[in-house]
Amino acid sequence: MTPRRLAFLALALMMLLGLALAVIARDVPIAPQRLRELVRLDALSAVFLLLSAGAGLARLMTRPASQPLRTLVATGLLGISYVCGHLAGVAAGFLAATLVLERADSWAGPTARRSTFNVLRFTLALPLAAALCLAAGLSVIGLSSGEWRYAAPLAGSGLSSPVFALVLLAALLGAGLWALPLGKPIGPPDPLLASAFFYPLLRLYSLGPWNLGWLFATMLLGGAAMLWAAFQAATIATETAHWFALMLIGMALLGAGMGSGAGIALAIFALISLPVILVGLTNEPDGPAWPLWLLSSAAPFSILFVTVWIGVAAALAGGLSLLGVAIWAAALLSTLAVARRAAACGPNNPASMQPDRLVFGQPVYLAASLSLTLGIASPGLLSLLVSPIVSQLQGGLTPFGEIELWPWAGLIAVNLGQQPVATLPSLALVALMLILAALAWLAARLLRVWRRRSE
Amino acid sequence: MRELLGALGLAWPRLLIYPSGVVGLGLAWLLGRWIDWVTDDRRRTKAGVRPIFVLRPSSFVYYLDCLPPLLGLALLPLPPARSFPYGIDLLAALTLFEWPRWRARMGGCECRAPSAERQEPRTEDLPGDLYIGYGLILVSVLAINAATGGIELAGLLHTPASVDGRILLLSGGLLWLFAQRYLGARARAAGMAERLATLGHLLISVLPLLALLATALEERLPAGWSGWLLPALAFCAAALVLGAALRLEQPARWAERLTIAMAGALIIWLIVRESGLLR
Repeated sequence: MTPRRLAFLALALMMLLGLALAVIARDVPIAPQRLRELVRLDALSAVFLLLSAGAGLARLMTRPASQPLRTLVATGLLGISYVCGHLAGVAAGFLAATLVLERADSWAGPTARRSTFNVLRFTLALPLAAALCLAAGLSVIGLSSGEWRYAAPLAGSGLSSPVFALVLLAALLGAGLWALPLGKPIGPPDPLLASAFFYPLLRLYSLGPWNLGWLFATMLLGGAAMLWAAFQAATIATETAHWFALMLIGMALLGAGMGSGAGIALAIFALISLPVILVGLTNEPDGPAWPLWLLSSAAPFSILFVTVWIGVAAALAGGLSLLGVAIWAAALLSTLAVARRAAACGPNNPASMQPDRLVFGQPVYLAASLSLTLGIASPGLLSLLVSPIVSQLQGGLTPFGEIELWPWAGLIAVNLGQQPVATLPSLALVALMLILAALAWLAARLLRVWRRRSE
Repeated sequence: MRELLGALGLAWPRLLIYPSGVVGLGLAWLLGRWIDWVTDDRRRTKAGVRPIFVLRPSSFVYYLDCLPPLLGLALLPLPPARSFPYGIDLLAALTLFEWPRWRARMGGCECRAPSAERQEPRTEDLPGDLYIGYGLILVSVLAINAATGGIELAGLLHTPASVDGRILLLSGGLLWLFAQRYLGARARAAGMAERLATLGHLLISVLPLLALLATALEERLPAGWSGWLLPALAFCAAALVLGAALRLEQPARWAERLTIAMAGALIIWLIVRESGLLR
C-alpha cells in the first residue's frame, strides 16, 4: 500500500471516528475522572475531529506534491489537541502539527525559483507564528487563572482582552487571511490549518461569554475579509479557489463573532463547505460545466447556498440587517466568479450533456456530488453536529438568533422572541422538485412521441 | 413525516394549475408578449408572429432550467391558491428565479428559441447591470425586513400597522420590480425559463401591493371577491409598472440616477429608523 493510499484510508477512518464520537458526545461531554479531565471530548471536539479529517483529505487532493504521511500525522496531532482538556496540551498539539507539515520546497517542487521559494517559506512560517500566538494566549489563561483545564469553573477568570487578541490573531494567521492584503494569491489556503485554528477560537466560548468589543472586532474582520475575497473572486479571473476559500473563512469568522447559536451554525457550515469548494474549484471539469454550478450559491440545494442562507438568516435573526445583506452580496459576487468559469469551461451544448460524455472520476464531480448531498442533508447536519455544540456552549453564547430544525421540512431561523425570520424547507423543496422533474420528463417523452407521429 | 407527505398531497393544484402549472405558463406567455410589445421587439418569423418560446422535447436540459422557477411559483403565497404549510423566504425565491438567468447570462441556457443565434457569454457589460440590479434587490430586502421583521414571503402579505412600515414595504416591492430592468427582463429571444423567472419576480413585487390593496379595499368589496379580484388587479398594476421601467431607452441616465437616489434615501432612512434618532 502506498503512503498516499494509507493516508487516505486513515483519514477516512478518522472521519468515521469523528462522526461516531459526535453521536456519542452529543448530549453530555465525555471526561473520564480517572484522567482528571486531561482528556475531554465534547461535541465541539468531535465535530472538529471530523472537519480536520475531511480537510486533510481535501489537502491531499488539492496538493498532489504534499507528503501524505506528514498530512496524516499533522491531522492526528490536531485530533489529540481537540480531545485534550488541558490548555497546554491543546497548544502543544497545534505547535507540533504546524512543525510536522511539509517543508516549502517539497510543495513548490525542485524547480521553483528562489523568490517563490522565499515566499513559500514565509507562508510556512506564518502558521508557526499562529501556533505560537495561540500557545501564548492559552498560557496566559492558565497562568492568570491558575487553572489549566478549560472545563474547570475558574478557567474563565483568565479570559481577557490580550488573550482574546492573541487567539484571534492565531486564527487570522493560521487560516490564511493574511493573504488578503497582499492582493496577489499564492495558492489556496491550507484547508487543514484553516479549519483547525477556529477550534481554539470557538473553544473560548467554553470559558465564558465574549464582551461586545470582541464580538464586534471578530464580526468586522470576518465581514471585511468575506466581502473583499468575494469582490476579488468576481473581478479577478484566476485563482477562484483561493478567493472562495478566503471568503468562506471570512464567513466562518463572521459566524464566530455573532456570538449566537445561529452564528455557530454559520461557522460550522462554512468550515464544512471549505474542503468541498477547494477540491471542486482547484480542478477544471473536463466536459460540461454543471459541476461548477453545483459549487456555487446559485444552485438551490448546494452546500454553499445553504451556508449563505444560514448566514443571512443568522444576521437577520440577530437584528443585523446590514450584515445579512453583506453576506448576500458576497454570495452574489461569488456566483459571478463561478458563472465566468462555467462559461469559459467546456462546450455548453446539448451534445455535451449526454451521459456517456460525463467523466465521473474527476475530483470536481466528487465535490459537486458532495455539495448537493450535504446541502440536501443540511437539516441532519444541523441536528447531529451543530445543535449539540450550541447546547454545550450555551453558557457563553447570546440568545440573539437560533437556527432550528423544522421537523421533516428543513431549517428555520428564529429571533430573540422565537419569531421566525427566515425559512428554508429544503426537504419539501427537494420532494417537490422531484415531482416536477418527473412531470417534465413525462411531458418531454409525450411531446417526442407526438412530434414523431406528426412527422 | 406524515405532515410532509400530507402537504405534498395538497401541493398538486399548486404545481399543476395555480400559481405554477397551466396558469403560470399562461401568465409567463402573456407577460412575455407584453414585454416584447413594450420594448418594441419587431423580430418576427415568416408566419408573422414570433413564438415567445418553443418547446424542445428532445432536450431534457431545456426542462431542467424551467424547474426552479416553476417550483418557486408553486410556493408563492398567492391567493386564492390553497395554503401550503412550507413557505420559502426571499433568498430561496431569488435563487430559484435567478437560476435560468444565470445560465442564460453565461450562454449556457438551452431555453432560448431555436431561431436565436448561439448566445455568447456577455461578460463585458454584465457586471455593471448586475451590480445595479442586485444592489436594488438588496436595498429592497433591507426595506422589507425593516417593515415585516423578516424575509419570509408569507410576511409580505401582512400589512404593517405603522405608516412608515407600509411605505417601506411598498418601496421594497417597487425596488424589486425596478431591479428586473437590469437583471434580464429585457432579454431578447428569452425562452420559457427566463419568462417564468421574470413572472416570479413580478409576483414577488405583487405581494406587498396585494397586502396594501387588501387593507384598503377589502371592506368595500363583496364577500369572496377580494381573493380573485385583488391579485388580478395587483398583477396588472405591477405589469404596467414593469413595462414602464423596461420602456425607458438605454441609457436612461435620469431614471438610473433617480432609482439610485431613492435607494440611497431609503438606506439612510433605515439607518436613522433603526438607530432610533427620530424617537
